[in-house]
Amino acid sequence: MQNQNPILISLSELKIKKIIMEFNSQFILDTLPALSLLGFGLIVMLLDAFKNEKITSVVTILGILISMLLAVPGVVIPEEIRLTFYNQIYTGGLAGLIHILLCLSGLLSVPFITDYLQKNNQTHLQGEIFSLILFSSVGMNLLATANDLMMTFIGLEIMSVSLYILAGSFKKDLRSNEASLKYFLLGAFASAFLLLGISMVYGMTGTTMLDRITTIDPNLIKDKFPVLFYPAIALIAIGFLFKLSAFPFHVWTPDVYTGAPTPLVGFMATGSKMASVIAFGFILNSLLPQSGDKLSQVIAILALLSMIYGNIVAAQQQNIKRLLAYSSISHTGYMLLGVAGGPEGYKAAIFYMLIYTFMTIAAFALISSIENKEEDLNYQNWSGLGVKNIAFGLIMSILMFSLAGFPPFAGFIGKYFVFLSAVKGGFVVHAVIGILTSVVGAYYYLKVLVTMFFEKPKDNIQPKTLKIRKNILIPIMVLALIIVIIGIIPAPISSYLDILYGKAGFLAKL
Amino acid sequence: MLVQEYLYGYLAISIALFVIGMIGVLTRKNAIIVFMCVELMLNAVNLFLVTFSRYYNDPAGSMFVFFVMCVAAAEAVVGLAIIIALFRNKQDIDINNFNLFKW
Amino acid sequence: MDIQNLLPLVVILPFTGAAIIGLLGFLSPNFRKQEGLIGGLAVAMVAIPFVIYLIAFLNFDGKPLIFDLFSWMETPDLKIRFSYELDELSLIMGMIVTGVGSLIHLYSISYMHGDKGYYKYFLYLNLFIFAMTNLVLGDNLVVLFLGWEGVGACSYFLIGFWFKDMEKAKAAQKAFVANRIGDFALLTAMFLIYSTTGTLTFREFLYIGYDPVTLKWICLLVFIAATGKSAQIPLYVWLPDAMAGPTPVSALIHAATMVTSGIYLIARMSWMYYNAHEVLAFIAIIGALTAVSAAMTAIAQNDIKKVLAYSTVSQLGFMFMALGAGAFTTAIFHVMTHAFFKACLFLGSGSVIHAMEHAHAAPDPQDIRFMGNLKKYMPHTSKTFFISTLAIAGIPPLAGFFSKDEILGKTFAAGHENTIYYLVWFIGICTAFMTAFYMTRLYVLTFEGKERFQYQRTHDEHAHHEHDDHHHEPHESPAIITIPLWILAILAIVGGFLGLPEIIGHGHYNWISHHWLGGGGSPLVKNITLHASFFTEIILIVLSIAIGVIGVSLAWKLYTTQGLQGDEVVKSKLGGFYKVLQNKFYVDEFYNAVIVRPFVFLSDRFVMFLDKEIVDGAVNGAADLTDITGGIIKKLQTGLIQNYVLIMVCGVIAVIAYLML
Repeated sequence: MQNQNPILISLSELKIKKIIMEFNSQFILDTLPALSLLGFGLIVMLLDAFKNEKITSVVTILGILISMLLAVPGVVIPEEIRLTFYNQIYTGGLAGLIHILLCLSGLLSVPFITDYLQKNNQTHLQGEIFSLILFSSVGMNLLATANDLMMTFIGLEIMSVSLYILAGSFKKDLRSNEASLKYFLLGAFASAFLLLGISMVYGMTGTTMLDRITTIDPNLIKDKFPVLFYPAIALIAIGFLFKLSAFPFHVWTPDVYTGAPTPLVGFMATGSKMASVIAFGFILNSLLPQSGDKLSQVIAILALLSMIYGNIVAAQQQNIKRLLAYSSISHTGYMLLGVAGGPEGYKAAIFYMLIYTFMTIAAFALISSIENKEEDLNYQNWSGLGVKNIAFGLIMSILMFSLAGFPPFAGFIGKYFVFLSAVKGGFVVHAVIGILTSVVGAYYYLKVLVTMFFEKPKDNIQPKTLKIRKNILIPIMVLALIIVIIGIIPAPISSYLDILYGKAGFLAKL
Repeated sequence: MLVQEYLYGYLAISIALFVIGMIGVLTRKNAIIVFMCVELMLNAVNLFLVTFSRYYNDPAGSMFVFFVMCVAAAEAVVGLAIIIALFRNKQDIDINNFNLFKW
Repeated sequence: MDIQNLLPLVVILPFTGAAIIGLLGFLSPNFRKQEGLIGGLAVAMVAIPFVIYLIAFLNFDGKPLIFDLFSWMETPDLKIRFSYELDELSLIMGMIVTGVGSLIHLYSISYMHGDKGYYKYFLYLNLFIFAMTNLVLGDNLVVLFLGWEGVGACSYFLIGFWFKDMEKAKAAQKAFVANRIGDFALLTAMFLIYSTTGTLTFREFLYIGYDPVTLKWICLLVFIAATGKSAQIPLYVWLPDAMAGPTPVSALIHAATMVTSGIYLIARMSWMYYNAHEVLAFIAIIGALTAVSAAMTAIAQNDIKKVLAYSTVSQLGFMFMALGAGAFTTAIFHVMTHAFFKACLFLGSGSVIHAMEHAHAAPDPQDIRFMGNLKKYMPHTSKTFFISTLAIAGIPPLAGFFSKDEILGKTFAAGHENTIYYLVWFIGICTAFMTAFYMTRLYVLTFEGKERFQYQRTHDEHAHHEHDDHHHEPHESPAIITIPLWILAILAIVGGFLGLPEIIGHGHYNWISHHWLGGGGSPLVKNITLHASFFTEIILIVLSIAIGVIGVSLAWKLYTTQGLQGDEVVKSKLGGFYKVLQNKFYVDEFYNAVIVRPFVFLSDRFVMFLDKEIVDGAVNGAADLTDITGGIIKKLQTGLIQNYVLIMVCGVIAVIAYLML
């Protein structure tokens, strides 16, 4: 009996046959949004291989759009979210919306990346960059909708590995190389922690399926494995906090954002964070259905530290990309404050993330439009730029005001909901400190604008290209418009999110 | 079926491996060796998983190990590629020499 | 068609116009040159709402029309909805805004012709109408406040429209600062209202009981806000400087609409003011003082737009006198008539300035000392200007007479309750006299008498001189400018008949006060003052006619016979006081001496210490602290991977430790 391998036992029970029987066309239909992304990724790769990289950007946009459309039916008629594919992932309803939201950052970045590559004579990279964007979108989708911790891990890795390569996609550029190396080593290191956490959860519960884990009383587990319980949760949390770049797991963020090609940063900074925050909220909920107090406290403290650290150090930066990197740490802080505030807060955090996606992609795209050499990124060389190039100045003002959280721009709405849910979750002091740190934030965002508008232009050090090229001006303007519109009419989006969350089973019981 | 008292032995070993890997990452200078230490950490987790798979007599844990190995392999491919790209540009893979960005 | 469905258009259209003009102008340089298209679009976006108002007005059945655009934020604690209400008051205000507004838009098409920022100008103008619509239609204080800020911002942009001109930029800043004080007061009032009632919607907070102290404070704060926007003592200093903007802007924003929004706000909240008698008396006094001091200043000014600006301040003072006397409907009546004749006057002055500029005949195209006999060259402008001058001077049967007489009558009647109103009334009578005087002076010096400018005639022998095209006769403006002038002049003639005096049929023919605003469902308190007796009324009317006629004829005689020397006569009569007037009561100097200088003095001794050591210290300290801590903790990011790993490991240990312990 002893030598009987557990795997053999289950094989002998004809499970495999059953598994094959279960596999039906419904699975394909359910996973079609993710599958189509994968398929288009392969197509783009093939196009690249056959020297058709010119049309890759169009195919990529098309692919993402098709994939988003495939998810639309479940979203338009808000249906119950349900499990599929051997209970590995969720589909329909909220999961569909999540898929659409995750695709957004890829979709929005493609035009800017295309333009940036053209400007830098790197068009031959188009094929691989776009296929990697598609693959990493698949990873995000799996990560955010996974029901199995194994799927979570695989999704996270598909996403991250693609991003490591994307960060280093300018192979000849040492800065890009270094960004890639740092991202890769630290990312792999962090995912080892996540994996250890997952394996501990498996050790305690005997399963990796989140829906089954939810049914187990956490107190029972705690009594049975007192040593493993908290480390397991902490390690999983750390894996996500790394991806979200929360203090003190933010270390990679400034360097990677500074070194990676500018419009790609917009993609890396948004989609992966959105996927991580969704998965994080979901897993936290499943692991600790009611007794999340202690972990919420940790998250709230880290949120606070992120806000303080991000804002204070951002105020010291001159390189605009690095400034935005540090400010993204502070934005993570605001978002985490929402997560700490409980289920209501996840919604706020996702909403915040959505707004942050628009703002960040637009900001990095705008920066890339005037970037020719490294000095162009130093915003102190931008004196008088806002007056010289009204379009640049205007859009930058919208973005900076929104990032700083001034009404009536979208950033304000995001912050408002997050702070509201934090206060409801009992983190009043944290919310107050958060508002105070956002004043520091306003200080450095406005400093950029002051330099752009009120300082005398210094011609010798100004960026050479002032004109934003036509083919990216319109997408950027659309993004800016979206930011203004969400700021003015947030109600439809936030209430729609409410409906879908209401239908989502895993929150219904809370 | 694994008995509870042996369980902790296996777990201790895998945790020890994990910590060894971690210390390696903290101390070694060569990028490739640092990366190998990360792989060691992943393998430590694999041991952890297999142990519990045995303990619960459940195949899922062992299956997970296969996936982890796949992922580790993919990571190795990407990691080595990145390191090679770096070496081409700088003729150096000492991670302490890469600090273009700071503060 | 159901009018209810059309109503949102009055808000949406001006905004759409601004958005289209802004976007297209921004994107395509070709569009910027399509002046006709831009101007036509802008006019349409204001004229269509006017028509809608008109339809709504004709079909109005006493029930306020309410419409919602959308709700901005709805949480259990705070609801901010963009909802609008059309009642008697907002209808009449809306009609003034869009009616006068569309005429001024039309006028601007020609006036701004060839300007570099043509599309921007119309963008701001449409945006202004949008903001003003929010201000007068909003059914809650939040929307009103957004409009309030919006009109302020647009006025700020438009004053500083020719941005290069340093003085104009400075004037814009002055307006900005003065308005900030008012905004602060309004915000505080809103906060007070919200904290006592939990709502900011007019129909919910207006008609409930407040304790007297809170009420007094709210009313006072709102009044301070109104003094900022409507240029009353002590915040009026910005308005004369605001004349730096293009003239149609002065007509629209600084005469007809925006500056009356303070009056609108107080009228809107009349149910609260009704119970705050002390505040009302205070308002009346401030109004009277503003009216008289501005009128006196206007006598000694030589810049055509400055005279009109001070006259606007003075007329606004009249409106506040009416409010203070509890005659809210009368104040709105005067807002309306004033919009007609003052817009006409400003547009006329714009026409004159254009002509003078074109002729290059005078060193300063706005200085009336270098004008005279312009009626020969500009028949339409001079006729309309004359009509409006008589209207503002209070000559019957022109519009200004009826509204001004009603204000004076009500103020006098209020004297029964509180004798201070007699004083207010007396000041009002004096002001009316001065108004007649300086307005006639302005007209005569500009259009009558001898020419005091020189231009080279085109049949001159130097006709082929290289500068010849710079020296033309001043000539009449094109029809697109004179048509709005005539429309406004006609309105200035007939507008007064909407509010016939009490003595005719016991006020039953006073349509505006009695039927429209004084009706049952009206949001305004019906005039709360007692009616004066028939006999008193007659005397008052005769007196005010006499005052107007005397003022006009005095000035007419003096300035037609003596020309500029007339000023010398006035100067000799007034002695040293004239200099005071010329220098605008030394208000700027006064502010300098009373506020700035002592502040500097104090700051040298005491405040500097406080400021430098404590306040500055605290502010700088906070900044320095961020800088220093930032400087230190940014060193955490060493750039070395292994330090990063170490930080992360520390983080892992800390998190696990926190959870386990």
